[in-house]
Amino acid sequence: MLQLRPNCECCDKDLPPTAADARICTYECTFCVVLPKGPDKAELQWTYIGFEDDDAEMTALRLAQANLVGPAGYVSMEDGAVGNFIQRAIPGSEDECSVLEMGGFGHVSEANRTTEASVRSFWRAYRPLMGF
Amino acid sequence: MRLEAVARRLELEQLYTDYVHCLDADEIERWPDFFTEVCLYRVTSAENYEAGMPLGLIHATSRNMLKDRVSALREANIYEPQRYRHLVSSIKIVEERDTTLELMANFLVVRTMQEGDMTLFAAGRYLDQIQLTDGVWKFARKNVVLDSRQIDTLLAIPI
Repeated sequence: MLQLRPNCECCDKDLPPTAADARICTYECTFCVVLPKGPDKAELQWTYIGFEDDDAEMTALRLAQANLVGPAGYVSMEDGAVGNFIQRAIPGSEDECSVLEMGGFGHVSEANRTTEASVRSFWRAYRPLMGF
Repeated sequence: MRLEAVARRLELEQLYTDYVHCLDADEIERWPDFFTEVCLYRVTSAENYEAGMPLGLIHATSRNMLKDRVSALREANIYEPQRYRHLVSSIKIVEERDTTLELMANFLVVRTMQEGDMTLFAAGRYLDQIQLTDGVWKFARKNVVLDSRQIDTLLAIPI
């Protein structure tokens, strides 16, 4: 399970959930983006991060942890299958609409990321920053 | 071709035949036995491989890590039932040193899903090192280098 940490594990900076200066930390090993390719296709693009000044031990750790994510990832291989099932269901339901909300509708700080409440909180803070 | 060379080619043919039949017959519990105890099994893209990047979509450095993956596929991960059909050809001996061989071979994998959809799922090269271990050839290193950078939906069963 992914957990919010009280500090950056790389530089040890304090990062309470309300910290205004918290940024996406480059110590994170992976991120992914969804690229819509048309009404019947989307790509999930994975980026795995390593640094030139990582020592051999750190590189080995990152390579081992990469087994968790991506199309063959222990924790993420089902993500592609779920998206694929939904995509296949959509053509027969053109006039239908459904929304799934993990963890209700609120935006609160949480100690884990097993619901989307903390993600919603991020976008709520992001919108005014970007002037939307 | 000398008789020894012919015999060697037949051994290699047999090794790859056994390997792909193990995967295609859904007998993945036997899959780790094709590797040495300390090994490298890595699935990566040609783009990543040629850039010299070490990342693998699957990255295992021991037979025990391969056993872990088999356990996950059998007991933890949930995915649509599917079947592979491997076609391996053009096995080439790149380098020969006593009981160690560097090999290259082409593969295609056709994947058939539960409902019958068939796709050409993967094409690429095996860049392998095999070692003679107690009279049996085992993979000490298997780089599965996919020609494409895209994987359709997921990669569950090993290649």
